[in-house]
Amino acid sequence: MTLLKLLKIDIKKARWNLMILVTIPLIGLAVLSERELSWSSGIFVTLYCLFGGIVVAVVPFAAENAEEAGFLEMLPVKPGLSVISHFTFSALCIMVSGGLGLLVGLIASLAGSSPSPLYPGSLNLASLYDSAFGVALLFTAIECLLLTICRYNTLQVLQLIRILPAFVFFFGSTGLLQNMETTSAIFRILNENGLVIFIICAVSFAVLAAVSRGIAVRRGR
Amino acid sequence: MDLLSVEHLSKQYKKTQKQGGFSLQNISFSVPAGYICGYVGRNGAGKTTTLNAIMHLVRPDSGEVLIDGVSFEEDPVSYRRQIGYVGDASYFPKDFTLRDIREILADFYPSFDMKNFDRLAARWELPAKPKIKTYSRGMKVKLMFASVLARDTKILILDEATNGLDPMMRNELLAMLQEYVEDGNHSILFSTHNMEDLQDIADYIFFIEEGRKVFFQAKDELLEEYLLVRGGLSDLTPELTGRLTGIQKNEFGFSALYPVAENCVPPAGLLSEKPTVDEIIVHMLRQMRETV
Amino acid sequence: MKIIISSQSELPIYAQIEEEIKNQILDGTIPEGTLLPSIRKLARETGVSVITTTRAYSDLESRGYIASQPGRGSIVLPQDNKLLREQYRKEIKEDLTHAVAAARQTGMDRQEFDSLLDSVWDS
Repeated sequence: MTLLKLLKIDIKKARWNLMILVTIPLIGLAVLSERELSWSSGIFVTLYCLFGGIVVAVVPFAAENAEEAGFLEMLPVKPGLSVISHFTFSALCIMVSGGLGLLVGLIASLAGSSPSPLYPGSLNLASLYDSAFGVALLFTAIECLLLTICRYNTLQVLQLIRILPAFVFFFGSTGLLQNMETTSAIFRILNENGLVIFIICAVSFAVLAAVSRGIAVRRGR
Repeated sequence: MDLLSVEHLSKQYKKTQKQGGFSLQNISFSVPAGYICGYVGRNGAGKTTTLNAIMHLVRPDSGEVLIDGVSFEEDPVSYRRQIGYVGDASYFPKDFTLRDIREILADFYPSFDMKNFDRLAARWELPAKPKIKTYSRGMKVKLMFASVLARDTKILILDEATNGLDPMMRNELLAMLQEYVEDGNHSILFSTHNMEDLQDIADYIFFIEEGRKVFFQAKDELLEEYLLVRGGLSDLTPELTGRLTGIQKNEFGFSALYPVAENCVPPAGLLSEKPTVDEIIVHMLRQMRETV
Repeated sequence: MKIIISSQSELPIYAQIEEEIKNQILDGTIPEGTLLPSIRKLARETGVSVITTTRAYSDLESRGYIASQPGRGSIVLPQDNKLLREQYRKEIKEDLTHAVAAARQTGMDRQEFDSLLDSVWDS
């Protein structure tokens, strides 16, 4: 119950940022309708959406590091619970952003798409989506952990932690798709073992959440 | 019964240690139910650190704080529910509105009385829709007070909380604070570097300097311990100088504290009067600086 | 009941409250049997600390002006004349003790003190 109340606060904190999650798929949809669709269009949109998701996912953490938030720190809750709430919020962000991306991708595939000229094997879209979701989840978990550790750091460091992983995720994954000749080995793994990757990432997410909670409890928060 | 008891609280800051060394050293005191205690000292003497340690915003190196006999470790939820804290700056998230705050208070504090909160907000003309960052300093202070006074607490912890309030509001607030302790089951600890407002209503005074306790005693007792004497420089005989505390000289005369002992009055020719708490503290600080 | 507190007064606040209540008891403004406001209410109304009003009441009690009854509060006691005289005598003696101590402190001799007393008496 208390967790839900905390989650409500996290959503309040991020309410303006949540617009990003909705805006990106809409832009994606608009862009798709203008272009000739290829097999990867849907994935690209999803990656864009997850990029937005990763940025928004850590807003509750970042807001907590801002100076004027003592009110929330002093709420009568057990230490560590607010960290769990932030992690839950991140997972929700990835789910919502990825889900919206998937939706747009589906619309794109209904409109018809051509197979990849670059990849020789058969494409397993479900596996690729699983992989993307899983890796995005892992990235947010790492961000959350870093923000838990660095909570008293300077604003610049905090901004870097917020933005950098999202960019690494986005440029890394789109680069992977665009340079298929050199990265086909990695691509094959993602294409064939999506579910396993997702499960590993989800478990790591839970482990990192537990570690962050431990850190918070040790600090008495 | 003590609603707040602070036992052997110590905190050393590594960073500032190099720059001259700030720390809190073995601070102990308690505030009994139904009384108001002033926590007095200069800026940087350790007031806010003590209050933050009580609020568990800062972790002390050692020592313990009990609220109504319960430590944070034993029961963090009830510990925090018993305290109403008002800081020297607004502690609300800047982008939140009064409505958000009201909703959160209702969610987390079972004793939160929404009607009472709305009544206070209306009386103090706090708008519900604008973000708190658009509030003036005084409005932010009022919102903090509304948020703690609209629920049941055992103790109020106030950190320079009357700063930025106009005299009218200050007056109203002091009356509310007295009302709060009137039933004998609530206490207040307020920190300030300026005792002027609170001189009358405070029951106890804790005086801290450079992280250490200078004294902790009933205000009335303290006020009876000294007379404030003034005189010309020629009145300052060596014998008198020895008796006085914190002599403050200017070109035309001096002022100092004269410790009042049984049947012992200041020499004739000196002007003597009742000191205020501030005057006692200023002269004590002067004395400490000279003996260093 | 009327209580006026001055920050300029030589007397500490508790003593001012004491004086005001005592005088009103003696001149009959507050009749015997009156239930005085509680210590805490008095503190809030007059804007002074609880310790201050507690002291005022306990002094009044020890001098026989009021009695505190557990659970009820403080009640004004009857002031019979003989007792009153005795009370005044005690207070005058106390005041004189202070005066004599001050005189000794400043090195005043008996004769000078007496003449001072005479001038006060006649004024």
